[in-house]
This record gives sequence, structure tokens and C-alpha cells, in this order.
Amino acid sequence: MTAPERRFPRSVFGVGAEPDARFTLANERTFLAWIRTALALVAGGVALETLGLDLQPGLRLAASLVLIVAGTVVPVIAWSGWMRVERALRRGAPLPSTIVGVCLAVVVGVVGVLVLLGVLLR
Amino acid sequence: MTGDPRAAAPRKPAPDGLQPERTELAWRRTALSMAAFSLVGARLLPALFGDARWLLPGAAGAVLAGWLWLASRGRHLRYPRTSGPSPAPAPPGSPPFGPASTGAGLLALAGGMVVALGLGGLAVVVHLLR
Repeated sequence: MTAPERRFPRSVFGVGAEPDARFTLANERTFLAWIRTALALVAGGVALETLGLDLQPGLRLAASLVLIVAGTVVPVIAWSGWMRVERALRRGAPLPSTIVGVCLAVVVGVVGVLVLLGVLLR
Repeated sequence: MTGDPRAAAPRKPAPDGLQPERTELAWRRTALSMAAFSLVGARLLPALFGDARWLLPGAAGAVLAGWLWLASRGRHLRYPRTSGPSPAPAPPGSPPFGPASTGAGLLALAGGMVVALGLGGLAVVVHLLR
């Protein structure tokens, strides 16, 4: 009766039933918000080094690398989060918890401290 | 009685309200940010590496970002709506409407693009060290 499931990724669309479109759209927007956050992290990291700001060079480089690495990892976590939430929506299960927000807060805090020290120690 | 055939056409109410539109706007913001970042890359990379061929990654990123937006827009326009242009009729037996029903390839592509941009940024910073 139903066509074989061809949608990507099958590990998500192969389970449960079609969820309320509003919730799956909200899940998609959350993913996109993380993508933009990651983009901002990478942009900040690249700008920090390429603009040649007058900060202590070692600390400036460290802050830049932390930002860029975080910006590269966030899309991967966001994708896995999207899949977990979508599966939960399809199964009618409770939504999974995530620690990406806490991790990001730590990353931004660390970068702030590095830049502050970079200003003070230049 | 049987005047305008469009008036007689059944209009499916859109229970999702403005959700598809909000999602399309989120895609637009995301694609715009990617295009801006790509264009900065197109400006930066050739000067950094001293070779006009380094224009290509930035240009490719901008084109891909534009395509992402158009693809998400097409998805949005296929959604049932109560006002505005009528959506194209779905062929019989097609999966139910909704962005999820078309699969998450666009999401994966967007994520992959940002990972690529991040690795490119890492390469630029490492290059500056030398």
C-alpha cells in the first residue's frame, strides 16, 4: 500500500509515522539556527586572525582556533540532534536532551576570556 | 452557478499557518549568510594565496547558497495554502506534503557547506601562521 521509504536519511524516515508538519518544520528551523550560529563562529574565528587585531598573538590565535573548530563541529552535532528529534517526533516519544547549548556557552566563555587576556597582555 | 472554475476548486485549509513561510525565511537567512561568507572568501583567498584560481571556492559557495535558497523556496511553494498562488497539483500517490516528506538532503547539504567553510577557515588561519 505505502511506497517503499526512499527519503533521506532512511534511519529517520523509516521509523514511526508522519509527524505534525508544524513540529517537523520547527525542528528544521532549529537546525538552521544552529547552522547560522556555526557560520558566525567560523566567521568570527577567521576575522580574528585575518584582521590583524592588536592582541597578544598567541592568545589571539588560540581564540581564533577555538572559534573555528567549534564552528566546524556544531553542524555535525546539529545534524545528529535534528535526526534524534525527528525520530522522537515520528515515534511520539519524549524529545531527547542535548548538551550542545552548554558546550557552546563554554566555548564562547573561553573565547571571551582569551580575547580579554589578549587585550590585557598585548 | 458554474462560473469561474477556480472558485469551485476545493481549497485545502493550511493548518500549519505561517510555519512553512517561517521555515522558508529561516532558509533565506541561512543562505544569505552563507553567500556573504562565500563572497568574503572569494575576496580574501586570491589575495592571500596570490592565485586567481582561489576565486573558485568562494564563487562555488555563493552559487550553492543561492541554489539552497531556491530549492527551499520551491519546497515552500509546493505547500498547500489558503491564499496566494495555487500550488502545483501533486501527482497521485505522491507522499504527503511537508518539507520532511521531501527528505533532509538540503539540511545535510547546508551542514556540509558550513563544515567545509570551517575547514577552509582553518586552512586560511594556518596559512597566515607561515
